[in-house]
Amino acid sequence: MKLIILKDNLKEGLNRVERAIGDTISLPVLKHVLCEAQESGMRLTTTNLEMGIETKVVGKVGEIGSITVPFQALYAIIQGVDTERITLETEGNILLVSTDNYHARIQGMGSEDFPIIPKIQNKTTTLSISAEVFTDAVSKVIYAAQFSEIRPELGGVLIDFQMSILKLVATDSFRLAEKTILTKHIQTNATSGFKVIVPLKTMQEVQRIFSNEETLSITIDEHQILVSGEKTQLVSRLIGGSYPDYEQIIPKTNDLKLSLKRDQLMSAVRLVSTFSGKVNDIKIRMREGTKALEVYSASHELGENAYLVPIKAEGKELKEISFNWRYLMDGLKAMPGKEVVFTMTNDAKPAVLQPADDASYLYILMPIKSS
Amino acid sequence: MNLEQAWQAALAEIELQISRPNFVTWFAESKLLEKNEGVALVALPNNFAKEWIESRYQKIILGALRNLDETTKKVDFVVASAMSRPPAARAGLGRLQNDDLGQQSFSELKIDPETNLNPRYTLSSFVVGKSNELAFAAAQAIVQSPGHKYNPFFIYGGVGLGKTHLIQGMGNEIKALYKNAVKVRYVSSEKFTNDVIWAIKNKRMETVKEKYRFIDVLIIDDIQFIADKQATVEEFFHTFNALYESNKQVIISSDRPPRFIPTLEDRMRSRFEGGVLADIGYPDYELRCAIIKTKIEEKGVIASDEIVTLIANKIQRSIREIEGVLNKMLFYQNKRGEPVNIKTAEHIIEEVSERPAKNISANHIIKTVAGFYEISPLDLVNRSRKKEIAESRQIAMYLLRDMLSLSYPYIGRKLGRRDHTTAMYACVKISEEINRNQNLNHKILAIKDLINKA
Repeated sequence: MKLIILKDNLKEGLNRVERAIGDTISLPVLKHVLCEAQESGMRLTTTNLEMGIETKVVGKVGEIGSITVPFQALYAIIQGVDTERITLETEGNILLVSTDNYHARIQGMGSEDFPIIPKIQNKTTTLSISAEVFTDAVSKVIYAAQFSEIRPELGGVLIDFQMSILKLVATDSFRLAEKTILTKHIQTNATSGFKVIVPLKTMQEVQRIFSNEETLSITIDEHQILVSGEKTQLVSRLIGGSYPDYEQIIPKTNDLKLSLKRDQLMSAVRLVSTFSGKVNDIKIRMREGTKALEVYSASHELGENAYLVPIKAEGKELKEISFNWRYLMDGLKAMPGKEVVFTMTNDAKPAVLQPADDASYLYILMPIKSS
Repeated sequence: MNLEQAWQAALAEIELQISRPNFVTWFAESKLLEKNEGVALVALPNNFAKEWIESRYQKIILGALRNLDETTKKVDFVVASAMSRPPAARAGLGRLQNDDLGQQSFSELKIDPETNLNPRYTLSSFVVGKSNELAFAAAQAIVQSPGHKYNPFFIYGGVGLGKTHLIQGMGNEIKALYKNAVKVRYVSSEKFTNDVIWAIKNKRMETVKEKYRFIDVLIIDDIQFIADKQATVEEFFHTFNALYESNKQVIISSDRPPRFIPTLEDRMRSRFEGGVLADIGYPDYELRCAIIKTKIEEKGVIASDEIVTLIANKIQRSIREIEGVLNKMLFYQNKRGEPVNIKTAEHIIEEVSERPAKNISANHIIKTVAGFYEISPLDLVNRSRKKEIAESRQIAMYLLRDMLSLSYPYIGRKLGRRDHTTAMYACVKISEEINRNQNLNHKILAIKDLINKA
């Protein structure tokens, strides 16, 4: 293998495949990156056996070939060198990296030791979707998921494709975020809907790697998901098991509906949280007839504080409901638009945050028990 | 040699032929699923392992298996991702960290997504009394041999009497008894309807059919709600027949017996009536006491016998209301750091139990009682001592006291200038009698219904 490549191109390529480097000690080759010089350029591949990422890097190929080298070593070198052009060349299982003033010999392994990245043979369920729309939707739900030993299915994001709409859902059982994408953004060859659970880490990578691309194609089979853009392809296992019946969580009624400015509530929550306790609890209250929501927290050692947020309210008086301010903040941060609608029933029922002018996004959170 | 032993033996041989890291990485969580006519089927945790093993180790595996059994001709591989689920996962369901700190979680997520059952309901926590013993006995028999004995099992009774507890308890018990050999699925009528609507909208009727027809025990709650939805009934009918004909257990609950669900089609009605019908009646006094005591223990409420008696006396209809009272008591107890006294308990009961609207008058009660017994209100006021009239008069007195808390002298005066001791006697007699006589209890509940409705 022999090729000449621009430093920035190689660095970006390595960045794209970085997170699929394995952290297992049992199989050293998982800490390697597979470098292949092909006729059309260079291809980099990494895998941790949960997902695999392949990406193309432009370069001038002199001789076709391949090798695997420890990712960290190669990455450190590429970050450190100060010339634009880099020559990569193999000598048996050794990769020679050279510039005008620098030479390195990295001990590698033959590419035949590198795991095979699984392919999806049967591409009968493929969606094609604007990368911007999809990665934005992912960012709006992903923070609500959390890895769980007990409930593996919650450690992922649900893709619920219903032919006419696509929903992304994530929950850690304390809060839930749901984003709906309309089919005008989607083209598909699928003849029926599907529901798959994509691991949290995979979704984080999708969001990170593909946000600059134009269009994504997402292909599903029984156990795997393949996301591909122009340069990069990511294949990952899916989480087995069924996702909980999340639609039942979405409250159908409420006792109180508050309309307010998002940034005002955010300032209130941020400031008032200074006095919140171990469970991150802050309280909200509203007296009947008043036009303000009181955001309040108190601590035995520190004292107490309250912030008044102007609101428009419809419904009953609100005595007091406690929320984890971090959960509340997560939702507020992800809301698009200036106005939000906050609906609730009582301290044992879920409350809902929604943008005032966008029905496609929804954040539900459970209160903290008052005692 | 069973499959597991065979695979262990084969692994021992494979381990010798490849490097340790490779063995650990690729063969962890592998399993021999079946051996059929010389073809061995090996399950692997993910596609990476499948691709790798297929291309690198197929010969080694085949060799190892052939050494154990010469008839092995071929090895196939499949991915079984559910295998990576930790074994403790299902058992720990419902208990999630943070919960103790007061942060509440969505109660819907405590439900097992495979079966839809809430692990909270068990048969052992179901308190059995006269009013539900038949239903319970049938339930136990069905758990022992689902699909064979009483099929379909149709259970009916009023709101908050424990139908859902019993049928979900059956589901959980069957699940615990047969593990994965029997597929149980609980579904509310609402959910079933939503599934059908979803399927119609997404043109995926097949999915719904598949979802419900490969179940061994189907439990459907509150069937009366689907009775007037045509497409849903149609789909349910086919599902029901498919299951019934292949000897799968169907368990159905409703708030009334099939013959009183007016919109139910005849063919469905006769199917339901062909199985076992069991009702859950209103609990008698003893059962109410027993239920209260069980729940007190469950919840950790501290309550004197006096309070137990009070609750059992005051709340006669619904166990859900009893639960409401106990939850409130628990709340007070935690807040104040001391057990609830009888005064507070009375107050709580008043709050929770559906008190009559304030505008119910004494005259309204008297009229309703008279109407119920088809006599004139005047008969109640008159001096007649005929047995039917005497009883209805006593009931009227009892209700005036119970619902409006009027004084005995006033009640006496209102019903024909009788002495206050007569009124007292009537109230004591009836309140004792309803605990012994179910028939009377039902009558009084029906009259209260009428009073509250108007």
